[in-house]
Amino acid sequence: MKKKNNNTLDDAVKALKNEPISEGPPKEILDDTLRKLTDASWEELRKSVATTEKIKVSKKLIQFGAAAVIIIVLGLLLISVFTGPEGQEVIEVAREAIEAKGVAETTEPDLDIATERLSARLQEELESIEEFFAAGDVGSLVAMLNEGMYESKIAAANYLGEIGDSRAITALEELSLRYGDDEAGNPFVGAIEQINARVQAEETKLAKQSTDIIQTQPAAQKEVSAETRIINEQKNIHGWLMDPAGNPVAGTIQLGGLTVATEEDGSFTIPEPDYKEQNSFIGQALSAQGDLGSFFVWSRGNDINNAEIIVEPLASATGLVVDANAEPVADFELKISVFSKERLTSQSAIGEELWKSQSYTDGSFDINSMPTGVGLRLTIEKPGHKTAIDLDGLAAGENLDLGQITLEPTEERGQDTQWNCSIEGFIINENNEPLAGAKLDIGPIGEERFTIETDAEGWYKLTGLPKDVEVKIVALADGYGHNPFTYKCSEPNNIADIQIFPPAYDWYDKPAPPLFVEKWFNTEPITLEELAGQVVLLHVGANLKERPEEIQELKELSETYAESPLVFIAIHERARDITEDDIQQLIEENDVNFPFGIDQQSDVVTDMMLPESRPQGQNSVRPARRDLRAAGATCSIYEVKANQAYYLIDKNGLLRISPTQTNLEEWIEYLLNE
Amino acid sequence: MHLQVTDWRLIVDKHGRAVWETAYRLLGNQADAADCFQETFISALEVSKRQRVRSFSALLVRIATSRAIDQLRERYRHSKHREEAVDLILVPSRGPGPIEQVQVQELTGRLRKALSHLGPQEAQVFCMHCLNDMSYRQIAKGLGLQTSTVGVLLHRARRKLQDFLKVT
Repeated sequence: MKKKNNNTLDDAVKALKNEPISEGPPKEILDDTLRKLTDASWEELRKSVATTEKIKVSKKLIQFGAAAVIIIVLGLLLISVFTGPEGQEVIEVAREAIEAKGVAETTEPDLDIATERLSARLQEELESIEEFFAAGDVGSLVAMLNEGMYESKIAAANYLGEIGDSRAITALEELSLRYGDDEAGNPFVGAIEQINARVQAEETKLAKQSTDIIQTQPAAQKEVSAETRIINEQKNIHGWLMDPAGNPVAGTIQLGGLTVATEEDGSFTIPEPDYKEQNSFIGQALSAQGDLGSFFVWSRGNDINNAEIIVEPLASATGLVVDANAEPVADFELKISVFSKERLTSQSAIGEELWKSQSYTDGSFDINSMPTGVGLRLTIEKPGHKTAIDLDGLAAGENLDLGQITLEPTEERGQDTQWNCSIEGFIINENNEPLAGAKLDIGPIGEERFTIETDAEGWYKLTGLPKDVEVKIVALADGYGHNPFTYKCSEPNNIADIQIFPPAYDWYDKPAPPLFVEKWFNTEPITLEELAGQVVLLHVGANLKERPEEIQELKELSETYAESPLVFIAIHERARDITEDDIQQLIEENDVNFPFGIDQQSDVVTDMMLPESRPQGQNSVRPARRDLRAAGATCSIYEVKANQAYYLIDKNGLLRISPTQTNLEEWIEYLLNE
Repeated sequence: MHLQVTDWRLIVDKHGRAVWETAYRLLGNQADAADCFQETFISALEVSKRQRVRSFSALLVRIATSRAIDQLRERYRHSKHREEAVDLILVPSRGPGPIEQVQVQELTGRLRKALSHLGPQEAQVFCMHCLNDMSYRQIAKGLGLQTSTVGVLLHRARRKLQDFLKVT
């Protein structure tokens, strides 16, 4: 049948656009970027100043000006270092110094600009430092130590001393070495000492608190966790495992491929998962006794200091496996997979620990520790047999009796079928040319479906087919659509070519078949004859509700060829769930402006109207014409075999080709230039 | 003499959000988006040194997109099989459809991967049109292309993406 996967792209685009976006870049990145940009502009400015004739004077004066500022600031800093690091004051003082100097210097205009930039930059940096301090942003302060102007370095050092974060030590030590001979003394040493003292105090405090943890309430632990985090900068999640009543539970947590055990009091620490590939992870928790469990979603942005995971009683299930004669079956294999929306998302994800199952020789089984609240698929297998049972979310503590489960043979004809048939040959096109990369979809045979592809020569080989059983096969190739047929082999080895034709091939180079349209939109009723002299790109089998993106593509094409004598027409397939009003509305929503028709009921098409089939190669299988009457008369007569069935009708009204996505534009150009 | 100094603070204020959105949307995480954000402005700075920039908005979105796509390409080259190994498990029924969330995420992951397989220009046109909602004309102007070329590139990009999403 028709494929419906063209929606995927639009779904994906929509999903991407709907993804939440964080507010903006982290402040440190933003600031760092700004700093780099302004530094570079400043650099540029200096270069352009340097190219003027006043270069020497300016330079000297700049140096002089800068030195003056430094000396004034340092002098004042010295005082403040001894009286204790009052960062606020330092900045005030520095500002005053700059302002005072700004008034004093009124010489060359270039120098003015340069000095202005210089002082503006310093001022900016000092302001940022103030903000960083207020925000406790140690990283940015350290960055300022490395990249800021000298005055900024000193201010940052003072603040860092105040904060007392050990991460600043390395940078400070470097600076203290570099500026060791500074006449102003060494302001960096003071900061280092201060930090060391602070860190030591912190460690003592932490050690004391952690001994208290075991007895104290979770609230106290939260604080410790938060502080530890700031100091270590480790992205760990801290939280508690508890039962529905809020009692702590000891157990294990698994998230992002890691498993950790909780403390006795249920508290745990687990590294955050790697968000590189996804923003949410599903984790699982299990109590130490194995009686309580839970699954949870961990998303980026969750509070990493306060994760509460509630575990509930697990469910269990029992049953008896029997064969078609109601005899108990021994030696079967039991698998549990998590199922969601008809899509297998995980298999036995919890591992042996959680989903313990036991099967007995009398055919009975007993599964403990089943996760609750999720769809599960229970698969019972034995060679040649397979039965699957889908379970909706189990309730906490539920004990489900599945009763007798009949194990079905996987093969349509049971175990008597011989699976020794093979068929091979070429998949060929209308010109008897082999098609490399064409596909065969086989099945379902029992529960199995599989797909094979032709090799570079266009040769296919199917083996292991059941003897004397009719097998459904669909031949697929780009531009040839779906070509279903059935095949039954009676001999072990068979050779046959599969010949497939593009849609409406029998109409090629003949006057295009008429359009059967129940109702036209965007135009008075039109016929193809009226359009003689123009090339027509016809899209048959559109569906605005299910595949609006196809029409968008056609619209894009029509914009591309707006200036050319190319007429676009789309015919909407008949569909039970879409009314004329729906289509009218969808046309407006999608802003379709070319002629658009709804296909007519198909009984107006009779076999008499169809052209004679062309001869086919010897010893070949040719999929029969498909019955498309449900989709409508036009779909049927144009033999639509896949979505986006396009047809090109030339200036003389002859149907020339049903182009593929690859040769569409080439053909349009060709027909336009004819 | 004439001193031309670009006020980057103003530019970052004005266009930072758009650059961030472009980077974040394509890369899907804070760290990579932050790298891309910074690289974008630094590149724009380099460009502005060489030539006079008429529209920073177009320039920045263009650079951000192409940087992000480069990064995606890099990401998927280095982790050929990683995206398969999504450790999907499941969830009890609290919260709004976590499984759906994860599925949506899987879909966006595939789109990102698919984008990394497009040609640079196709990827750019596609992102600018479909993610940044820019018109053909805006894109054409921003990239210095004919409007019709933009249409053709977009068409090709969609086709390739669709094929890629079908296969995976």
